[in-house]
Amino acid sequence: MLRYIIRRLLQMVLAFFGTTLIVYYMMFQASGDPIQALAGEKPVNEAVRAKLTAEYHLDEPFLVRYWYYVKGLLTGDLGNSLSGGRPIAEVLAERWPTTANLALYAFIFVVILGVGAGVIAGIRRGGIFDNTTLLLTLVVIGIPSFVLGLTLQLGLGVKAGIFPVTYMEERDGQFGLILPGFILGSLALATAVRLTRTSVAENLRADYVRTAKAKGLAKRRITIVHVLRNSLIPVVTFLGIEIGNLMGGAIITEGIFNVQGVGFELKKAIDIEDGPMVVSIVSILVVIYLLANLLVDILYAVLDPRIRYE
Amino acid sequence: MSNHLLEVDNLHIEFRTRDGVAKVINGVSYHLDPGETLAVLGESGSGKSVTAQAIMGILDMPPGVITNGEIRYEGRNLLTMPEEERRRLRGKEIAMIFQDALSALNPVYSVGFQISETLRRNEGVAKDVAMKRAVELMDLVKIPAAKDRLKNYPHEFSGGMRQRVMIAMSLAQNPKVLIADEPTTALDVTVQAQIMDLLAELRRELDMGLILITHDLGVVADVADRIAVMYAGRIVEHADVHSIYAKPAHPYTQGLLDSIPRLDSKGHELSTIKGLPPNLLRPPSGCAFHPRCPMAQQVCQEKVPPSLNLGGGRTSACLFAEEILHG
Amino acid sequence: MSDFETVAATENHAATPGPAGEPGAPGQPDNTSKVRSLAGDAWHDLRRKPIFIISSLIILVMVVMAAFPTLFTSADPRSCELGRSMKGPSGDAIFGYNLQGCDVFARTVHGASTSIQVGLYSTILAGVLAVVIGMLAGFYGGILDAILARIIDIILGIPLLLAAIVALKGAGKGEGYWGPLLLIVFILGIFGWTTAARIVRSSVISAKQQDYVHAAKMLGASNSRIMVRHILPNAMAPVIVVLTIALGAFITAEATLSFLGVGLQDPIISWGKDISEAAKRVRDNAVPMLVPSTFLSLTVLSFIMLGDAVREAFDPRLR
Repeated sequence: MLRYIIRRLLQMVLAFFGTTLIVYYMMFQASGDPIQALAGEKPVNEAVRAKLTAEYHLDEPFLVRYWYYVKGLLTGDLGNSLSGGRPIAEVLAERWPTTANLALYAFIFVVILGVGAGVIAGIRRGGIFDNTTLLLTLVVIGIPSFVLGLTLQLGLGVKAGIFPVTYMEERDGQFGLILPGFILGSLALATAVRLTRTSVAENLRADYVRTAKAKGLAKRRITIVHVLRNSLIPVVTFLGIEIGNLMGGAIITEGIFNVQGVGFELKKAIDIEDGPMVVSIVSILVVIYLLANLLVDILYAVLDPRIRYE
Repeated sequence: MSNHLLEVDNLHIEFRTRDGVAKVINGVSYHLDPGETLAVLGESGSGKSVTAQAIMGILDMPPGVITNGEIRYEGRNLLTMPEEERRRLRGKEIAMIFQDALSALNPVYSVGFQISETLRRNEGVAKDVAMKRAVELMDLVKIPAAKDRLKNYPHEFSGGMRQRVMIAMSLAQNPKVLIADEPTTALDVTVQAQIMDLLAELRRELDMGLILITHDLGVVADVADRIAVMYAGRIVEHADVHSIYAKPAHPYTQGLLDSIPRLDSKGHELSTIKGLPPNLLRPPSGCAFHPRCPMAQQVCQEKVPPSLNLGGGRTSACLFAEEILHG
Repeated sequence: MSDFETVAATENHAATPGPAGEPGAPGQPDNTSKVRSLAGDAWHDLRRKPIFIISSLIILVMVVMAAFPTLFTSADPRSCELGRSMKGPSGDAIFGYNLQGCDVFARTVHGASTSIQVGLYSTILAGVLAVVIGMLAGFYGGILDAILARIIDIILGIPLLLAAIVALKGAGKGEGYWGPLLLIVFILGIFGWTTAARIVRSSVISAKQQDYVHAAKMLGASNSRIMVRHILPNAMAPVIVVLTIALGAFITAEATLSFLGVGLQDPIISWGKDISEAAKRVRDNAVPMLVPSTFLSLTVLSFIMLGDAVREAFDPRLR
């Protein structure tokens, strides 16, 4: 178990440096003029140019600059945003709870609706519920999430008036996050259904289920204690990774519903061409994604005894 | 008639698939008494496992459909019994062990959990008592250091030890009949012999009826009392083990015997049965074995051979059984 | 985040068709029961599946629309008059005009070309990368395999959308029509080949152990010949399925990036950008948003359903 975790940890460290290097390279090296890339299409005056050069150590060699960037990322010193000049870490700390809150709703939808429907579909494979759910999940996977978001906003918000069209924390409270949360979770929800269904259907046909039947166990016990315990191993893995993914998906949902979270900040930074903010947010989202992966690996070892002794 | 412990009577089973109907069991009858061992022998696809699954009530239905026949346990027809009542017989009266213990055991539970599970669930035994019983059972099947291994998982055991775990699990509720479906196929030859000896010993000690399903005539010689040879969903020959080894009464049995390596025939080429088992979606006309039979005549393609009683409980489903036996 | 990664993740252990079906058992008197080959069986299944037929037809229509937009509309998508801004449907424009006064239907028809091209080119790039890298890793194994596995891990560590946002921010916009389009294709391809490569790798590893490959080796065939002639054909079926789904995902990614404002810009017509602009005035007139939304969703959905149907037909375990 320990060896497994250490190996995973080392792989994560490698992935951390790999991904941050790629993000950093794309932002500061792929274009000829990193300052222009940071500032977008606006003309850059000398003062700004000097400030950015100092802040990002742009007069140093690439690897040294990358080192400063990683150090900043690890110590929480993310520099200042181009617009307004506030420390990026401060802005993010302010935005973070909203996104976490939104992601929580998305996650609840995924776990209850997604895994629940997947289990039922897997047990009744080939039935009406199964076929309907499968078709529905394909439709959800097929419709780009921003289209789904805009359409539901139009239908349930603008036309039907059930949900607020745009989110205002003071006015809507938690209720206002339900629709954005559902849309944020929709793709993961559909995938969770399909994954759970496949896994349950496969495990129902496993040899150990036949053994459990031959032992004279009741059907309910076989399904819950034997089949579900095994089927949910890959599902839990998927759900863990999805936590990391949900944060990244927030850029679309938060943009559409005006939810002032990290994704909203990222969208704003793209719109006003605030390069430092874009790099910082993406880097942090990537790190969260990697951490979620690591947690999942450890969880996997806890759930599946075969991994522990690898 | 119904004084046997377990009796399969004229069983017919079909598999209804999208490619058509396969008649996999066509009138199989056999019986088992307490303390005796019946070996059911046949190639894969002969229907030997399907029959066993029908006895256990774990046949996948669909695609399987039992179209005719009875399975009687202590005189009661299992096939017409309510499912709940039948479930209570599984494990407690009739238990079964399977070929590949690694996949037949649940990978995520400890062996102690799995051995004691039926005691706790079906008999309401308290956890510590059930665990103690699990250790006893593991001792019974000769797993060394049983107590320390209670919390281990199936993948931490060797193949032979895993099969012993499965045997221990099947014995938890003291069944009167044990069905062993190819219990040694996945194992090394030396381990095979150990498991066979263990089964024979347990059968004697616990006075169980044992149905041993195998494709390997070699492993049954020392263990079985009677042998039923199956081909294409029929029992083609049924006799006590000595009679069969002395003189088979069906060309298929003869073919199987000829394909076992023997010490006294060193240097001789081993013969095999030519061809493949028939496709049961489109079985051959007449005797199902005729395309592969060295003795086949014109009549074999036309007439399904009935099961001939050769006396002494011996039967053969060959039109020329008398000639083979006495010729 | 990217659909195809998640769709493929559900199924990446599936979709490994075995060798073609066994010929009818020899020595059998009645040989009318010829066993169909796996591919034949799959095709037989597919032809009768409504989802397969419908999605193929939609894709066909979209491809024709992309190649010959003027078959569908004679209006110029780039001739816009503010005077007819947000005008409703009429005989001239069946879906009316958008905020800038451009013909909504004409823009949507011409947008098909962008989506189909981005999807197709990205898939080709990702497919070539996946086949070459997956093949090398699977065939040679060892250190090369380990290094490539780490690289794949790293690339999978950056969600496609975020990677594309940063890359597009850093790389600038590109010149003219082809510049921005190819830039997006390049970025999507570079970040989108990993799942398919893993599938190629595992099918290569299983194909490598087949007897006919050993036979070819013993007959002295070169490594490259074995890879191209013997292993590749057997490894292609599952990767084509994944790439079909990926094509849909790439179209989604481009539309999403353009929706977010980092993707394609005028004069290229992108459904994502048109949707984004129409969404701002959706209270006044929802049609300019709904028309490209519908086309985009139908296209992506068709590719994903097509891939899913083919995968199901090829996976005997799901029957």
